[in-house]
Amino acid sequence: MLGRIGSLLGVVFVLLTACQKEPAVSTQMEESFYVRNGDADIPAFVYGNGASKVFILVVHGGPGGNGLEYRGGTYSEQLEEKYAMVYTDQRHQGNSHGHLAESEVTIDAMVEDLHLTVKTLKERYGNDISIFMMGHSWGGTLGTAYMIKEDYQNELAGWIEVDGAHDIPMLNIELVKMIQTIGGEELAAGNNTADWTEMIDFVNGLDTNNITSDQGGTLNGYGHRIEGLLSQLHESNGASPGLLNYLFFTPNNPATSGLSGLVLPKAFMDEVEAKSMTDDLHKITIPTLLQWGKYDFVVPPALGYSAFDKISSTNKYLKIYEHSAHSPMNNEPDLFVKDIVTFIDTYK
Amino acid sequence: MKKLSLILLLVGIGLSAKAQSDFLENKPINVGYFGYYYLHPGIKIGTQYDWRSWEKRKEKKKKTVVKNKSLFISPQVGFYVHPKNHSGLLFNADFGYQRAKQKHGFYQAYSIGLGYLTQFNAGTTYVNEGGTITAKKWASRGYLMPSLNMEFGQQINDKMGWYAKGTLASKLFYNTGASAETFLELGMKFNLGKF
Repeated sequence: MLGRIGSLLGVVFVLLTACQKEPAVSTQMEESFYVRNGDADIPAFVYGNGASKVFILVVHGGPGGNGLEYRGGTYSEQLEEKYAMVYTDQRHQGNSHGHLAESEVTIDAMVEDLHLTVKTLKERYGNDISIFMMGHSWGGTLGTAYMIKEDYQNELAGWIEVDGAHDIPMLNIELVKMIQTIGGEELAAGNNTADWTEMIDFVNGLDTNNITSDQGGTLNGYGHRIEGLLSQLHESNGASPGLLNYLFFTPNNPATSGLSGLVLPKAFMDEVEAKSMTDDLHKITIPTLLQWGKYDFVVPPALGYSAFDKISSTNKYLKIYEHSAHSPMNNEPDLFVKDIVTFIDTYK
Repeated sequence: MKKLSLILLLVGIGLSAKAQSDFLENKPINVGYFGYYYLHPGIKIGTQYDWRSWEKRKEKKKKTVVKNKSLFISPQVGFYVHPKNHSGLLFNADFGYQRAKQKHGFYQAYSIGLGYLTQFNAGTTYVNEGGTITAKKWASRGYLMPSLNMEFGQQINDKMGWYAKGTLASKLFYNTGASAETFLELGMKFNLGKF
């Protein structure tokens, strides 16, 4: 009996999995692969126009997010129509898995994962493809750490930093200033006075030279909360594919992904909170596009201006979106995509 | 972990073999849909061995209500596919308590499970081996997976019944901790010896 059961399971196994063909470069790619780096298995989900030979490697935010969160809204539809988008997860986040010691969860280990992913993309799709890395928020921290390590950036055709947090201590200081300044203006105008009073009182009590990770977390929460208070912003167009679809019909596993992101090791979170790369930005020499929301209270635009000044590349651009907050891809998707297309078509 | 998988498999085979002797009499084979996060499809096959059972009678007005209760062990093997993410092969044993009403054959069961899940990455896995990238199909990792289960169903006649089972589980030593998983099963139980 057990033999028959085993045979039946074997047949089911083969039937359920036999239809996986890869790699299949086309104008409508829809496939996944993994990169195994030591004890971590890192997934990459590839969608869009691979025939363009241009691959945008999305480095997600967080820490604790996942790549497929960025596959939503009109911006990703537009970009997938022109290029292949690679939504990858970082170790201990998203759908990545493995048996990790806490000491293996570091920014440098994640940089090595990205390096391996870039090499794998070329191994899989050919050395003639152009890879652009796009890091949003925390993805801007990680992407910057990649850019300044050895000669890794030379594997890429360009770097796109979207509201990226490449200097967390600076971020916190600038955020305090922004809350005091714009919050003060909103208070004077009588807008959302209870919210602004609470936040201004909090930041006025901070020692900006010594902001703890807990205080940083509170500031980050304020940053997201403020997005709901400002009338200057365009309505977010970051429509997800729908909750049920997201939960049950995509390669994503939101519950497992969410839990992994919530329980990141404290030593790693402390490393993130102290990460400052402003002094190393001069090492970036490849074409760079910096995209920032004017009303980004999570990663203030001051970091974008600072990066623009410090990056050595002669081909660098800073785009500030007047009606956007932390995610200009959702607030002003058409303009956001137009700038990316112009950049990529120039440097691919 | 591979050794543990083997042990669990052997335990399952052992239990099945023990059940084999009186299987033709009244031990069921369960075959059912095994849905990872409900909608990612799979199949699960198992059996159940009652290692202790008793009957409880209660007098109610003019009738006697009879309930059959048991403590059971249920070895199972399951397989599912989460498209473009992974496939899972599970060897599992549930240990639980079941109570059934004799009149209509409805029953409920509560159990804890201990399983070993082999998670196969979808597509190719590119392995970094000292700076060289090697492509591998069916790369996998194994996870110990305890679970909590609630099941209800009905013995329709002496040949067959149906069941529905919900499971909350956690892969242990997953990243640096544990994961959260859920499964839904819908299936039939057959007493093959009665056909």
